[in-house]
Amino acid sequence: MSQLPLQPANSAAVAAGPRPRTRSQRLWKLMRSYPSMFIGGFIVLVMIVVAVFAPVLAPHDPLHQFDNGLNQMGMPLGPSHQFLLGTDPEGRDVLSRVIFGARVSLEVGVFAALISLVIGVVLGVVSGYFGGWVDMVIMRFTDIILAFPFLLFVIALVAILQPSVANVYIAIGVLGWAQMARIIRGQVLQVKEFEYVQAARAIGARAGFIIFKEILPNVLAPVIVFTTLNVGTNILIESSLSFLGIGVQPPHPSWGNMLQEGMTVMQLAPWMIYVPGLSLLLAVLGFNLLGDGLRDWLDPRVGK
Amino acid sequence: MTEALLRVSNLKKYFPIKRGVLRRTVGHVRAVDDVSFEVFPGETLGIVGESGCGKSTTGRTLLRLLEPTSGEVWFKDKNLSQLNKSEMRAMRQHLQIVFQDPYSSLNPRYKVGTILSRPMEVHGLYTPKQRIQRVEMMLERCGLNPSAKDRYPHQFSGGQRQRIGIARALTLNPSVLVLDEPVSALDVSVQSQIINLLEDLQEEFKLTYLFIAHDLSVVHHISDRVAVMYLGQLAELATSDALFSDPLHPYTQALLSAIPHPDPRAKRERILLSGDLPSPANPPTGCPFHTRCAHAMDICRKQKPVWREERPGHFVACHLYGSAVEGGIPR
Amino acid sequence: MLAYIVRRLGGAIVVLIGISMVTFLITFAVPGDPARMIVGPHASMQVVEQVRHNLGLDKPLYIQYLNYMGRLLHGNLGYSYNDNLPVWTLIRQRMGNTAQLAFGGWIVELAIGIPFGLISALRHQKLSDYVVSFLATFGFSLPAFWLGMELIYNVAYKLHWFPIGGTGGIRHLVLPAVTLGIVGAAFYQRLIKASMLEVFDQDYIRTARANGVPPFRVTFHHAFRNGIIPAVTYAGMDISLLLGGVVLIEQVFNYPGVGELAYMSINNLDVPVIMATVLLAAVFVVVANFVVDILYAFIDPRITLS
Ligand SMILES: Nc1ncnc2c1ncn2[C@@H]1O[C@H](COP(=O)(O)OP(=O)(O)OP(=O)(O)O)[C@@H](O)[C@H]1O
Ligand code: SF4
Ligand SMILES: [Mg+2]
Repeated sequence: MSQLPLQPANSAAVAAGPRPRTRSQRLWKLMRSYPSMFIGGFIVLVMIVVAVFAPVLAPHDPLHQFDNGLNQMGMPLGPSHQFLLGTDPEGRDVLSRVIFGARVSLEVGVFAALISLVIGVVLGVVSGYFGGWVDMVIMRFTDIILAFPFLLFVIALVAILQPSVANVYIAIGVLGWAQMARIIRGQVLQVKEFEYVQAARAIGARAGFIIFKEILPNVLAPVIVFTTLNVGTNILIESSLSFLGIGVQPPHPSWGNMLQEGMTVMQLAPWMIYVPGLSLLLAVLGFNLLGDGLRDWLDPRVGK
Repeated sequence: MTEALLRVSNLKKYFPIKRGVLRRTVGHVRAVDDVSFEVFPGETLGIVGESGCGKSTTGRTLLRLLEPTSGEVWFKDKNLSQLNKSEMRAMRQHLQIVFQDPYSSLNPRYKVGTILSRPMEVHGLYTPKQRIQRVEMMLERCGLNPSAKDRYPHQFSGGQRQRIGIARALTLNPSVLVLDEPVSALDVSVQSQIINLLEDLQEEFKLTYLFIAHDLSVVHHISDRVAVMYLGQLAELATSDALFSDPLHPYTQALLSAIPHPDPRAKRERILLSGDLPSPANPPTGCPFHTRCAHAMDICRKQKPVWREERPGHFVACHLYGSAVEGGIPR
Repeated sequence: MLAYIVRRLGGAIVVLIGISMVTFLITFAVPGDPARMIVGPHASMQVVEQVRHNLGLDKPLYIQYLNYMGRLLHGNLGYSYNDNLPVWTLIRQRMGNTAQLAFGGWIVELAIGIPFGLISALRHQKLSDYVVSFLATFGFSLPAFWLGMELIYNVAYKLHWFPIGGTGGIRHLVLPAVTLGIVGAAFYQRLIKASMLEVFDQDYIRTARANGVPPFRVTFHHAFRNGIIPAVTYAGMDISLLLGGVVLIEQVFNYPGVGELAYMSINNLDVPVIMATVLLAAVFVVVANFVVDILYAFIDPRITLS
């Protein structure tokens, strides 16, 4: 029995004594058992809201260079009533730029994660379900991809493809599936041995039907967990690329290129590194907490 | 005699053993090694044998859940081994299987109703409404409340799950049911309920059973005829009564002597099987049983005994019978 | 054991060949026209053709690959588009610095990761475990290059404890090594915790505890070998993390290593240098994994059976 994939409802119930009655009681119990899931979820939610409503939330145009945005010596201004988080060396509003930066981060993080998800799940399932030489070829390919230090590999590919937002998430997505493929393959190998998969074959179901209806639903938990964690990693990588000048191109704001601009003036304008840096940390932390919490909740077996 | 519904001839299933640097095949596990038998319409053929002797593999290979290494399986006038994938999928309607483990044989993600209507969906049988009716009917026939269709497998006990597994197999109206140790995972009290259910269903739906088990008393109770398997091969096959009252093969005799007999007059000496079960990867030459047989002779080590009909309907593979030795063994 | 080593070696060689194919394709097939990139946008068509011919770029792709492989096997990583120096020369000049930095980062990883992992395992599901585990998630989420900047600003610039950047001894190495090691420390905390918990759950440890062996001795005597050593053998993954981080951190700390070289060649689109660093890093990971696998097989002969 222990090898059966646990259902969310089950494991939550297992976590604590008598079954709470009302819906809000159950929610409260869940929050207490898996706090990181809710803290992370909250951060992620805030980030999504900020990204979606950026034009409404931002006090200024993130690209506008204010005439009064620099002091007499041409240096950025500290926090003030007009510029709540100060200005940057071009005289632009840092708060507005950070808010718009959330958009790019989320866009790249999510799209890249989706690309990795599709490639990883397809290869993992094919590898695990069909086995044999197909499995061997796919797994060797996975080994090859995993041998490359990920960040370095993405940097190289984006540099050569020409920096652009789309190329950034394509490169991250196309190179970031290997771990997912391995995890899914392992899960499929396990699930495939369950007799209900044999039963599906016995009733005459096709391979496609068995994969989609019998196997995939039972590997969903690691897919969700891993994709959530991937979004966080991808946001980190996007900012690293933008920091190195091969991600989002100025004047368009991204937390990474803001940090790049801030590095040159940090002695005089430390907010230039605090603001985008903390935003970045919080966003990545949010996705990591959410992912870890989801893992504990959905599927305690998947290794850390 | 009636025409056989299922004819298995010279069925073999070898699993490759891979070793070494290049994962080369260095040998084979002979899980099923040249097995032939027939199953007649409406009967129950039991298959017994120790764990690992190839019973499940026989059942699965015959349904082509595993591809046979060689040999043929005929269902009525169709050679199953010759069918292509889609023909075989269509044929599966008529040949169904019930698995041993009531826990892992039902997908935990689906409601029972979904699990039971799947087979009909796959074969495009009935309208969605009729499917629901059929699901409810089958649940009822299998001793469950029709409302069970709205619940998940984990909400049922082992015995109830096994009933669900049986209901699933029956939704397609099959003529042959392979029962792979359907009760061995259950409590004794529940076992007899399931056995009774199977007997009722057989009568009602005119089913033919291939009943796999290692529990001899269960097999004796439910089977019309019984086949005894040892190391991937058949040792003996006879009507249930003949086999249990007058076993010919030394292996069958040893098996039977190990169970308490209900009839005290039939008191037999208990024959202990000495030695370990040899590996099916490296089976003994000649008779596979010679390493443990009390009657083993020289010929047994060299020559494989032929599968012969010693008495009408009573088959055995042993050198003690036929021309080689007169008279058989003293019993 | 020999069969195991040979099989592993075969696997490693296949992966190495795959790596060379991937880097070849990215170097020569992905960018539109390498010849044009070498001579620059203003050269005439004739010159471009000449360069293409000289480099063998007019040959079929597989011939080009075989040539590329042949050069690699002779230790020739190609020439920089930028200043025509052999790539290997450029890399060799800086390799020592990067190795020092990576080693420093590794020490930081272990120095923080092992004790935190042990605390988490020994105080499992107690307050200290929760705190340490949260710190690990936090460390995992830290953008290393930002952490580097903050350290420069607060510790070096404000407090003057360490130099702001460059090389010149241990003191120059501290901040970049700490920056580099934080992420890996979080990684080790998780590994060691998981590994130790597994060991604690095994019978002989429970027996030792039941027999009154003090927890401290149980931990260090029995669990070290079975809990920590396996965790430390995840070297391949660790080296990946370290080498990836090096590019950013050398940039932040103005540290003259291979990472900074990679950064400069990215800005110049000096493809041979970029891809050579990627190739070397991957080869390094494969070799390290292979060595660790073999060493590990000597520590725990069971794994050769699987
Ligand atoms: N997929 C497989 N690959 C390799 N060997 C297998 C495979 N399936 C079964 N075997 C081997 O084939 C032999 C027969 O197995 P099988 O499961 O048919 O036995 P069984 O009679 O059903 O035993 P049990 O009573 O334990 O269910 C065993 O030695 C088993 O190890
Ligand atoms: S053939 Fe020989 S060894 Fe085999 S069962 Fe008969 S007597 Fe025993
Ligand atoms: Mg079996």
